[in-house]
Formats: sequence, C-alpha cells, structure tokens
Amino acid sequence: MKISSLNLLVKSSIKRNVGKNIFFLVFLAFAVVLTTVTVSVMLPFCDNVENKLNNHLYNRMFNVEIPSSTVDTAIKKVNDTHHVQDVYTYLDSMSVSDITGTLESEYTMCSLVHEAAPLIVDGRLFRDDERNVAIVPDNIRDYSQSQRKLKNINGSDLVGKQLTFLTEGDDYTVTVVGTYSLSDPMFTGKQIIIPEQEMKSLNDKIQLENNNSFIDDEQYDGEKKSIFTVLVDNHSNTDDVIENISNQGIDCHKAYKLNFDTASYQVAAVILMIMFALLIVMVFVAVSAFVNNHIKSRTVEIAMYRALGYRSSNIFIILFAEYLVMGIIALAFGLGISLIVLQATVNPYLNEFLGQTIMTMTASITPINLLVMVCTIILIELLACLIATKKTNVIKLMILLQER
Amino acid sequence: MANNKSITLKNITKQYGSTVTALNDVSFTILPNEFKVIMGQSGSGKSTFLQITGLLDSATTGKVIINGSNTESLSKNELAKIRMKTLGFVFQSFHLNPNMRAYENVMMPMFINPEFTSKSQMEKRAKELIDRVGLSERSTHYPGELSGGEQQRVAIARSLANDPDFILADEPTGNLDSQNEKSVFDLLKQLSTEGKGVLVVSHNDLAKEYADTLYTMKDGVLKEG
Ligand SMILES: Nc1ncnc2c1ncn2[C@@H]1O[C@H](COP(=O)(O)OP(=O)(O)OP(=O)(O)O)[C@@H](O)[C@H]1O
Ligand SMILES: [Mg+2]
Repeated sequence: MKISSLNLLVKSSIKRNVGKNIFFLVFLAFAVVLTTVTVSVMLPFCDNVENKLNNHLYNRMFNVEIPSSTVDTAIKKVNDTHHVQDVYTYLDSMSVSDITGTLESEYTMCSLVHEAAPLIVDGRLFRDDERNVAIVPDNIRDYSQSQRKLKNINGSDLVGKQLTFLTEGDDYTVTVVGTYSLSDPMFTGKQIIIPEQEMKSLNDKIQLENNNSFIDDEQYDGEKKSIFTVLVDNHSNTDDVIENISNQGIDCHKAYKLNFDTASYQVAAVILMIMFALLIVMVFVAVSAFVNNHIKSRTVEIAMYRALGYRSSNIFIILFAEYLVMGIIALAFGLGISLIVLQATVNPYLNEFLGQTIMTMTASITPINLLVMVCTIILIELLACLIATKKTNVIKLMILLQER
Repeated sequence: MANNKSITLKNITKQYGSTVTALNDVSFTILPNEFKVIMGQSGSGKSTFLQITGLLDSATTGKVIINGSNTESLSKNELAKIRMKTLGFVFQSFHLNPNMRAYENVMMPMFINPEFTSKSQMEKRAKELIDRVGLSERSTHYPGELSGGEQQRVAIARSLANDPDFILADEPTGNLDSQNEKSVFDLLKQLSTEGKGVLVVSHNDLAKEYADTLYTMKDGVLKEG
C-alpha cells in the first residue's frame, strides 16, 4: 500500500474516533512519562552500580607477597597474567598524630593507590613531584582528648596551613593544599594523603630501621618478603586473576575493602529493572485492551475492508500506522512532560539522597533513553496491532449484509 | 477454461449449526452481460446465497467456481485477491467511510491494487467513475452530505473501482425511495449491458422488470422463475 493511500485511511479513521483517540493519547502520554522517568533513573543508577561500585578500583585490586630473592621473575609472571593492568610496590600507610595541636586524634598517612581520582572539594591536588604537601578530608571528625568530645573540622579551614606529624622519631611537616570528598567509599575519613614518592621515602626509612632491628632478632628466621599491589582490568576478572597467580605459587591477599553497603544498591538496581519490566507489561496490556476495544467498535469498517479484498497484512498496516501516528504524538508530549518532571521533582530528590555519595547521579533524557522509549512504544504497538489483526480474522463478513 | 468469465455454484448447501439449513443444494451460474435477480421472502436464504457467491463466507458442502478456479482450494489471500479484482459489492447500508469524500471512498479498493501506481492515477479513475454514476457535482462531498440514493451510487462507483467482472448487490434499494430505486436499477442494468455480470438479491418487485433471468428463493431452495 502506498503512503499517500495510507495517509488518507489513517486521517479518516483518526477523525472518525476523535473522542477515543484523545483518551488514548492522554493515556499513552502518561505511560510515556512513567516509563521515561523510570528509564532515566534506572539507566544511570544501574550504570553507577556497575561502574562505580561493582567495578570500583578496590574490587579490582589485591596484594601479592613475594620473597625478595624471586621478585623479578615473580613480577614478570604477574605482569604477564591475562587481565593484569598494573603491578606496583605496595606502600604501607602509617599512623600519625599532629603535634601542632590543630588535629588531636590519630590519623593515617598514606598515598593514593594507582588510578584513584579523589574528588577535590577545595584547593587542589598535589603534583607527583611535590614535597611536603598533603590533602585532607573535606569533613574531619576529630576527637579532642583534652575536651573529651568529637569536633567537626571543616577541611577547607586547613587549606594553606601546616601540620607537623611525628613519624618514627622524625618530624614531618606538610602544607595542606586541598581537601577531598569522602563520597568515594575507599576513603575512611581519617586519611592524610601525600604524594606517592614521599610515602615511598617514608616507607624506606622505616624499612631500614626495621631491618637493623631484625638482625638481632633471633625469632625472625623467614626470608624477607616484598609486597606489591596488582590492578586488574575489570572486577569480573579479579577472582580469576587471583586464582591464576596463586596457582603459580605466589601469595595473594585481598587487602582492600570498600567502606560501603554495595548490596543494597545492587538490590535497588534489580528492583528498578523489575519495576520497568512490570511497567512495560502494564502499558502493553492497557494498549492491547484499548486496540481490541477499538477494533470491536470498528467491525463493520474492517469487514468492509475485507470485502473489498484487503488482506490481513493490509489491515495490520492500517491499524499500525494509526497507532504509530498517535504513538509519536504521545511520545512528543510525554517526553516534554517527563523533562519537566525530571527537573522539578526527580533530580532534586536524587540529589538530596545520593548527592553526597559515590552514587551521585542526575536523571536526564539521553539519546539512549530516547531510543529505549521509542523502541518500547513502537514494539508495544506493533504487538498489540498484530494481536488485534489476528482477532479481525474471525469477523463475520455477513454483518455487511445485515441492515443497520 | 481460465478465460471463461463466470461464477458457478455447484450443489451448495449451507447449514448454521445442526438445525438451520439456509441453502439446500443450490446450483447457479452467472456470466458477463447477464442481469440476474433473486427474490424471496425474508429468511429464505438470499443473503446467505450472496455471501457464499461473493466469497464472504464458505459453504458447508458444494463448490464455488470463479473464472475457472475452484475457490475451495484457495488461501485467504487468494480469495481476497479475487474479491478485489473480480467482484464488486453493493450493500443495502452502503458502508461508505463517513470521513472520506465521495471520490476518496471510490478510491478505497484501488489502494490495494498494485495496478495503480500513483495517487493521481487513482483520483483520475475515481472521478471518472463518479461521473459515470452521475455525481460529478458531488465528488468532494462527504457521505453525510449526500442523499441515500447518491450514497448508493457512490457505493456502486466504488464497486467498479478495480473493474470487476461481476457486481453482487444485496437489497441495493432497501433504504431508498421509489425514485432512487429506479435510478439505481437503471444504473445496474446499464452496467450489465456494458459487460458486467450483475446479481441482485432483492425484495423489490421493481427488480423483476430489469431481470434477464428471475429466480425465487424459498426455504433455501433456488428455483428459476
Ligand atoms: N449466522 C447465522 N446463524 C444462524 N442462522 C443464520 C445465520 N445467518 C442466517 N441465518 C438463518 O439462515 C436463514 C437465511 O437467512 P438470510 O439472511 O440468508 O435470509 P434473507 O433471505 O437474506 O432474509 P432477508 O430478506 O430478511 O434479508 C434464516 O433463517 C436465518 O435465520
Ligand atoms: Mg438478506
């Protein structure tokens, strides 16, 4: 059938059923709003769960312990293992306390693990080659020994100030150059972060002192071991990589734990997906019911098409074209309304509940959402029209001969 | 055989359920140029006969042969093709699309006919047919703006859209006054003289005057005369 013919048929039949069609349009636009809002929350949420939580650096990292004598060959083995992205010397963190009096409780001094990208809230991140600089949490809960109570210290107040820590005998002074957000669950809130090179020299210093003391220690009879951190390309490969490396006789330890309730977010993602599926089923049932009802009120018209020699495929095309036109109109309206709903209610709500966490997200209508919506509506209408066309097969053409 | 234009019914019986025998061993043939009329009382089986002849329903037993092909063995789509190409229907209730103009209604059967390759070609043919039934002035009117007789003439024009060999009409004048009755029968008669085979099922005594052959249906049995 030619488009011009279809155009005539569709126009006339949309005109014929104005009341019903307007009702259908309103319903469909409403359904589009519901599904669009669900999709535009579900997609970034699931994306967050997968990329920020499941595939978090900490779920892709573990440590290996290697006897000093075999370091070179063992590191080569680890490096050659499939899916291993990076292997680097593990740097011990150390417990420190500030002697300037600014901070009173114990803190952990450490460097960033490779590929970590802390969210800087105030100031800046240090460069690798800088010395005596640090970043601190944007929000510090400091326990004051003297006053015996917890103090909330705003990290920004420390930017530009100097802190002096007592490490293994030496004083170590840093200038705070920035604060980082605690939204990433790899941070505990007690970490004073310094450049890797700096951490390395501190580690070496301690190592040296320990070695000296070991010489006299008769209980220490094992070989000295070095610790390395291994980074895997994807969290789904971590267990395989650990197994492969262990099988080669290298000690592996899962040393990194996220300080976060990942499971409840995974459950929430599944619930969102189920909701979306149910919504689709409900919309399909409603559209199908509407199309069937519509067909019933059009039996004579459809019987006439058949008497004129229209095939089922022709009738399907006519029906589908009608609903496609309405579907596109409903999509346009529904997406417009969705945009308003997202900006006015959904996003402020998301920001309030997730804004300060690693799950932070905004719901928006992306090209992918748009594609999902268009495909969903078209598919639902396609299916509903197919079923309806099938039902028109049983229409008795005899009704054409009955006087109305 | 394939070129022989005819509709032949052989020993057609139609039963509804186990109790009603609407047609009882009916045989019948119509050729181009013929104007055949079937009369009979209400409930005698006239409409049943027409819808089996027009492939709108199937018989319980017996054969319908159209232009040489036995329709029993044809698929739904092949039957639809015969309805499109070979048969034209005229109904008591016209069954026009109220939201299409007169000439657009006439175009309806052309939409699915691959012989028409452009909209303008369809429009040209539709306007010709509208002229043919004497409604040139009314071509762009909607059915609601036309009288019953005019609507029926639009319906006749539509039945001619794909140049069928046969016109099947069920009570074509059932909803018309006497003046329009006459014009409709005149038109159908004229079509038969121009080569169409015309089968009219009617209560209307006026039909007798036009019939080449008159049949009477009684309790599902068809008799000539
Ligand atoms: N679908 C059906 N189911 C059962 N019986 C039917 C059905 N259709 C028709 N009949 C019966 O078959 C018989 C013939 O009906 P048909 O409609 O052919 O009569 P008709 O001669 O066209 O009558 P009228 O002049 O009133 O239109 C009637 O007794 C009718 O009740
Ligand atoms: Mg009848």
